[in-house]
Amino acid sequence: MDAVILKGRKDGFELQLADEADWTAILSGLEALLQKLAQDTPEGDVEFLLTTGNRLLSADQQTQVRRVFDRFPRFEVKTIQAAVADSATLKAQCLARSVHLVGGIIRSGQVVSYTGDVLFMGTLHRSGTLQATGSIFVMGGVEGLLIAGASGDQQAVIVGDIGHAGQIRIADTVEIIEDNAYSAQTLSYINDLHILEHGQVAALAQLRPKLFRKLEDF
Amino acid sequence: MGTALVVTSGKGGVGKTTTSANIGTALALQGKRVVLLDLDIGLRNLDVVLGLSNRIIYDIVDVATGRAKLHQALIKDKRFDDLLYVLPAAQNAEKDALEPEQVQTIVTTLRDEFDFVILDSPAGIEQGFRNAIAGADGAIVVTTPEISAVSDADRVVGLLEQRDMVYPPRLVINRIRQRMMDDGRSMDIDEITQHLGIDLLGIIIDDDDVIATSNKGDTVVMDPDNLASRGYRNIARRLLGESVPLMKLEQKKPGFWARLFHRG
Repeated sequence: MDAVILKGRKDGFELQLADEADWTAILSGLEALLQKLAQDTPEGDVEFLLTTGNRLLSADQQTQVRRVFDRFPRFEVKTIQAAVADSATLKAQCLARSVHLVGGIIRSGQVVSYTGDVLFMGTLHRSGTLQATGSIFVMGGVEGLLIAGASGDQQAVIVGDIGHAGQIRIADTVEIIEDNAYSAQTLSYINDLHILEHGQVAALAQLRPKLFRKLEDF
Repeated sequence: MGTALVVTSGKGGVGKTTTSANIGTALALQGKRVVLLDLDIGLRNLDVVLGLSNRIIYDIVDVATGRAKLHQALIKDKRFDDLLYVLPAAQNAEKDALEPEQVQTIVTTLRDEFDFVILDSPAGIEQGFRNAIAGADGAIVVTTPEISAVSDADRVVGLLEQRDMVYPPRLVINRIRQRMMDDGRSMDIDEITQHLGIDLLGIIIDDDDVIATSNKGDTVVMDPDNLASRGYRNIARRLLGESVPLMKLEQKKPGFWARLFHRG
């Protein structure tokens, strides 16, 4: 079996590295394949997608691959993709997609930040801050500042009673809470006109369908 | 081996120094050896409240920098035979003349000799506060039933919880005005305690005598009948592990017969 296989795809060409082949065989196989291609096709620039299968290329290996391509000016590797990832990357991705259960007291002056969504079941005191890059679902008491979509996600929402909160922010929108016309079913979100608006949580499935399919899209 | 407790509040003027002096005195009245440390460098007043200011020769900065021995700087309160001492703050030093490690060393030394080391923290959460909490095993957070004081106390509790002390912080609600609480014009005790989420160590009812006695360089806790004094005495007993019920707030007016027979 060849160490490197060329495949045609709808959107271009793909070079597959065989899982079983060793690294030197892959480099020589790649060079031989490109050599052959260069002879067979006299002209035209080609971009390749390089899929490494169950192999994760180190930075050093990636430069070795690119160095092979450097010898063939007409050929270029567009992206390098692996079917696997290291556990740290996966853990970070999982964390970003999971709902964090948060309890306890967040006191005045404290800032508690999460990557991903937060289900808040503690107490947020006045002048305390709870921020999440995703959405915040409030079950506990909130008197401080809630920030959803902290890194700019405009799809983030805040669900729950924010009547006693000082302020809520979603992405780059801010609302100072002054009246108490909110309930546990209040949904706060950014509408199509880029205005922070409040509605009923029943509308959430329609407004943010992706929120319910996070793991399916993984 | 004694216990080091820091008295702190965040906000100024809520009665940290008065509380330190009175709890210290109350503990001494219970026969414990107590030393009070004033950490408000530049604005010392713990010695004034106890009427000991004219006896100061050396202060805590002198001790920390090695200009004086610890025992030379300790001032004995003569009313309590060998039970109550004060280590005064420096009056003419920079606010950050002291480092947390230096305070820690002093507290460690004092802990061997005294049952209680009480550290009177300055207002704020800067260097002075960090110095005060450095050597402490536990904290007494003082607040008054005002939103500003409670909010600052909340901030301070957050900072205290970040340092794993041996004992969790406990709350003293000072200057309680019964009438305002009854009217609902000020936060009530349960509300404050629940909001801050820490154990209540005691309550002190606002009383003119607290200020009057301290103006004379005396502590109100010496008067056994005073309401505020009873609050401080209860706190001391709770610190010693007794379970003392919280003082009843609703003070019924004594009836005619009761007044007749329980005079004086």
